[in-house]
Amino acid sequence: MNHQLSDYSNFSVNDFVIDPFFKEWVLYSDPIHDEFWMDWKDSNPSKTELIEEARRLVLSLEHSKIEMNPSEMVLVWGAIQSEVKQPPKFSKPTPDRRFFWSFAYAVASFALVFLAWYWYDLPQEIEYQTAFGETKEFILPDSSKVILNSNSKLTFKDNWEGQMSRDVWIEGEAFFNVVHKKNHQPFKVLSSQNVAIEVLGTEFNVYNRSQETEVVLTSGAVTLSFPVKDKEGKILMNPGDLVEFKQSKFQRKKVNTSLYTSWKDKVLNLDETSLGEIITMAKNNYGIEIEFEDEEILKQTASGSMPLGNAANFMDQISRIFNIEIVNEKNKYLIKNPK
Amino acid sequence: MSSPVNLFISRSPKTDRKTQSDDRALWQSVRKGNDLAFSNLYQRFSNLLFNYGMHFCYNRELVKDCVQELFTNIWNRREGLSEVDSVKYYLFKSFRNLLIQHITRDRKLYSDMNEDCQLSECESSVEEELISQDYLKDNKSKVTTALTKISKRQREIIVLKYFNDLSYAEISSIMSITPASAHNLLSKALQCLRVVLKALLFGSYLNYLA
Repeated sequence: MNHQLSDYSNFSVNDFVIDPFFKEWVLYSDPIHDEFWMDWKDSNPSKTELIEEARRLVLSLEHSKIEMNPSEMVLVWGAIQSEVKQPPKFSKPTPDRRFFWSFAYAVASFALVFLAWYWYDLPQEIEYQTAFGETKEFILPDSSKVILNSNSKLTFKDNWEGQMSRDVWIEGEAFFNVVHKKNHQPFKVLSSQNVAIEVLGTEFNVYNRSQETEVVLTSGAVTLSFPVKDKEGKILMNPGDLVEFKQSKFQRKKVNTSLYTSWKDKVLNLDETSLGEIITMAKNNYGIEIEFEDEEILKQTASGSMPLGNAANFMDQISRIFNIEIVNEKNKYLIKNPK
Repeated sequence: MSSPVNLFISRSPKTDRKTQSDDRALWQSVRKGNDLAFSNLYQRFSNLLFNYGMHFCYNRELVKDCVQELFTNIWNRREGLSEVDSVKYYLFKSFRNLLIQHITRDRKLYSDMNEDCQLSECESSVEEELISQDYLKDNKSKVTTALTKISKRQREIIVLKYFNDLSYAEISSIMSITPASAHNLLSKALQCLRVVLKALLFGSYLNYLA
């Protein structure tokens, strides 16, 4: 990345304010930016004042952004849709009036649908769940496909028609293959850290366990929104991106997505994956307890792929891959030190 | 599971080039009549344009109309659209033309009843809108007032450069000035903004003392 770095040593306050890398750091401090800028500040102590002023200016400027709220965005989009679907202009006698009426109809029918929903048809909540060591495939009402990994839960309300978006909630891990709707109704996955993944139609993997949300995008495009310091941060993900959200901070990496999605084909792909990471996964997915004599051993890594079977089978393979002895007692596994 | 390898650092120049080529791919698909690409284009740019429009002339309905017209035109004329180097630049330039058209049309319409009120309305109501947005809780919000204290063109260039990171060449073409004056205008704008901000902060400090 070095050749891309601007030479910040001669930067004025103004230069910093309009530098996108600086702006990103101020607005969404993630570890990579933090590391770079803390170092830079340390090696340029005379610039502390200057950086502070630029920071304040960026923070302030961000507050002067004026945006449409979501319902305005939907309304304008609806208006565009109704405009573009009309036949060529010459056949329109009174365009304004017709537009007004179609708009009025749209508003009225929207209101009716809403009332009907509110009074008569309280939506049913549907829940799909998998046990330890089990993966399952489900088809959603819009014929999107979800594969739930072990020990995971997906909930949604069965009322997507007439809603702003198709909302689902996820705990655990799931792979989504979302069908694009003709009316462009977005599909939204919400995780327990208030991260929202919004898509129109695409393939991606969501991991949401122990105060951490991780999204890997296989194809298409998704928008991620997540809470950053009382407001909302947004990023557009590209295929091959992994975004991790943890303790109010996000981090983006480029990854080989098959490492993260292979579980859906009952295969675990490893790429210098440490034993520690594998154990965390095994605990979450099989609900087993794993202990070890010496922490050092967890740093060993392996590459390649292995089939995902039941817990006993899995631990047996681990012992062979890492050449370690694993003792099994009931639901508990103990990793011995190599002799 | 996250492996520590392949750490991808999203440095701005890189992301920029990347999003630019992304935008171009999106544009290509729109030209071919892909409606998903069209809705993506709308999602990606409608609010950036809206923000620009609101700082250009504060009139929510007018700006929304322009957003609507711009995207409607794009879709209706998609087959005749040319390939563009920077989608963002193209959109901002066309959007600005639309804004000016709408403002002049509105002004003609109302000029009999209300002479030349349009612009002054623009100026004051941004301030009102921003103040009403509950942002006046702390000193940060001073900039919202500060932005209305600098000239219209200064504000415009800040929106184009700071919020949208357009190049000086693109900005100069959008605002019909030379790249050199774009440089000057921006640095003046930021300078003014800093002075105004300091004055506002100092003012609140005096208030605090009093």
